Amino acid sequence: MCGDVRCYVRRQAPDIRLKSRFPSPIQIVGISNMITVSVNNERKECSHEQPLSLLLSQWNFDAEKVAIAVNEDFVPRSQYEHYCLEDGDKVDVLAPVQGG
Amino acid sequence: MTTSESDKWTLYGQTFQSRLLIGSALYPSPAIMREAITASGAEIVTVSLRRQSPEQGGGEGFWRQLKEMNKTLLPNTAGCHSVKEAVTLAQMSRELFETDWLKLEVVGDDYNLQPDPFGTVEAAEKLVKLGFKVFPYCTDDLVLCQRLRDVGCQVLMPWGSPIGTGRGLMNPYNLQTIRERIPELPLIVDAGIGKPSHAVQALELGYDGILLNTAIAQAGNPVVMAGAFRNAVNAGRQAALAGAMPERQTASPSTPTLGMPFWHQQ
Repeated sequence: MCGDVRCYVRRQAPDIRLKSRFPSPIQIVGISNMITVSVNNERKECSHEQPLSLLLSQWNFDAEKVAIAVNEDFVPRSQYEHYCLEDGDKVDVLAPVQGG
Repeated sequence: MTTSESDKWTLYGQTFQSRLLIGSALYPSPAIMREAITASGAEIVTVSLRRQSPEQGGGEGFWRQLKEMNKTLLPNTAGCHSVKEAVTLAQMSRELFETDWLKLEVVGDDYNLQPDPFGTVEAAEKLVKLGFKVFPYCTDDLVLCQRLRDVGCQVLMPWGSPIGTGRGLMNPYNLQTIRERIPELPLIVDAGIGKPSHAVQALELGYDGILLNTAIAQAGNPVVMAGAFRNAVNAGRQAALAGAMPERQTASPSTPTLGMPFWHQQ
């Protein structure tokens, strides 16, 4: 499992006068570990708490047959078990292809 | 006289017989790729990495075929436009292909895919420090080649002409100058080779090998063309070892003039 639990907040529209228990214009709408990342340029929602090894499996990638970069930095396979993504991360999952 | 069987060469400590390095892309089918690679006699095959969806099987089919051929792999960084992209892709390649060999490409111009000389040197220096055995694809510039040598590249791969053009050796003078000024390193003409005659010319100039892909993969019959290139590389190498006659500005008869008939003193 990875890191801290994230608290997601949403700013209230100024013309809404809800009977809120929160005096501030910031309203807590939920506590979530969900983050949005880009995987090979495709948006995916996932849990911040799940390590890369589990996420790859969920996304149907075989970790032994791909190589990973996050935000253009190489992530060695040995780190998959402990590597957790952050919201907005850009993940590249690459596999062998023909080349010249 | 060295025979082609005993005329081996060494790249980063590995010895090879064939002086033809071949790409694995652009063939009409995987089966033709296999046949062409076999017919070429090449022992080193270039590969790459790209995004693939799980539905595509992670490139498994292609990868399995290539592994069965038991060739030495040379992963490339084709398409990278920055040092960071090239270094990251190199690290990913090393893990997946289990080799520290790397054909370094840093694109400087999209129009003719001309390598970025500054980025190539910077990336090569970083990669050598990271333990890579770098095969830099570069332009035919002597000083660039010297810089690449100085940062630790033990093989240099200047282009013949831009990738996929098939225009052959655009500047034989530059290539020859590099050969003469850097006699200590293996030199490979990479890119632009279109015909077997271009391969012969490269080897005749004293280059140690050639790297090509499109000339075979996009030929009318890739398998037959692979055989033609195999023969061309051998012919060029034999010619280089034999030593060509010096060029002359004027004609010189080959048949003896002594005893020429029909000539009489007036």
